[in-house]
Amino acid sequence: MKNAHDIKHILEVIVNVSESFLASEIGIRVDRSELAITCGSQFHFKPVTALMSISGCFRMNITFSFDQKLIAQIFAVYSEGLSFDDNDLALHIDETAADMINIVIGNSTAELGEGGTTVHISVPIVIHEANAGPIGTMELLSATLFTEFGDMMITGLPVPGNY
Amino acid sequence: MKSLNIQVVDDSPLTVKKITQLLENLGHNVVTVSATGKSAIFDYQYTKPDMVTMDITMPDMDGITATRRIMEMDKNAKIVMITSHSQKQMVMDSIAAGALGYVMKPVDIDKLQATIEKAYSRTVKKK
Repeated sequence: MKNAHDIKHILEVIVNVSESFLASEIGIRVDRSELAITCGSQFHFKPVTALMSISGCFRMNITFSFDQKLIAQIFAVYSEGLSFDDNDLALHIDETAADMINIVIGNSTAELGEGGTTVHISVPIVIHEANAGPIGTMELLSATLFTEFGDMMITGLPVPGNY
Repeated sequence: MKSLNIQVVDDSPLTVKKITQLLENLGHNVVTVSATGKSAIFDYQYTKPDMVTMDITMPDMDGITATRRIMEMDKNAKIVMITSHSQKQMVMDSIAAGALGYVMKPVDIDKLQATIEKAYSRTVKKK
């Protein structure tokens, strides 16, 4: 998968699984979603961002970037019934973002690996707005999911040498 | 079924908390938590749990390899995969490595219970 059409298909699969996860697990309805192309130099992450790499029949990095209010709401529902030290709240918010991208991308692999190629996924990592600078000048395709608690942006980041 | 002593293997602390909560709600005890494939093998030798829940994507060694290594050490080990991977190939690789069941994340408690009971009864019948 190397062209824009394929990247669009990958994002659409991930958007569908994300919407399903938010609805069934968290109880958040996505009001609408939009695809947009942004130049890397104009690209900005939201406050909490999780990243995973996909490899196999194609290689790319995927980021899930959340408005603070939205990821806080996801955490509140996702961790319901669990006890935490309030001092570690920021850490658990990050873990929630990492868990969500892991579940969504993992659940997407069956559809992304159509044709029988095994899709490998990395361990998720979390990056923060403060240390996330511009990403070159390449055009990036993102999908934004709009909810009553704020937005979530899913972006495909090309891996050098694969596009 | 009887209460089992279970080793949970997953690199996400939040997921570990959630799986532990579900297992305790089912009446089981989480006796060890391991965050990597290699530590899972090390911890298994010293804990000898009744059952292991195993993630697939982890730092340093994946859960399928860790499952294979544990089965090489103890052919009676009872391992159930708990993972987000939805590809059939991952299920087949897990079963080939020796896993007795496969539960998808996000974990449904009824599915988890049924998988643990089925895995436990299969291994009991084997003996």
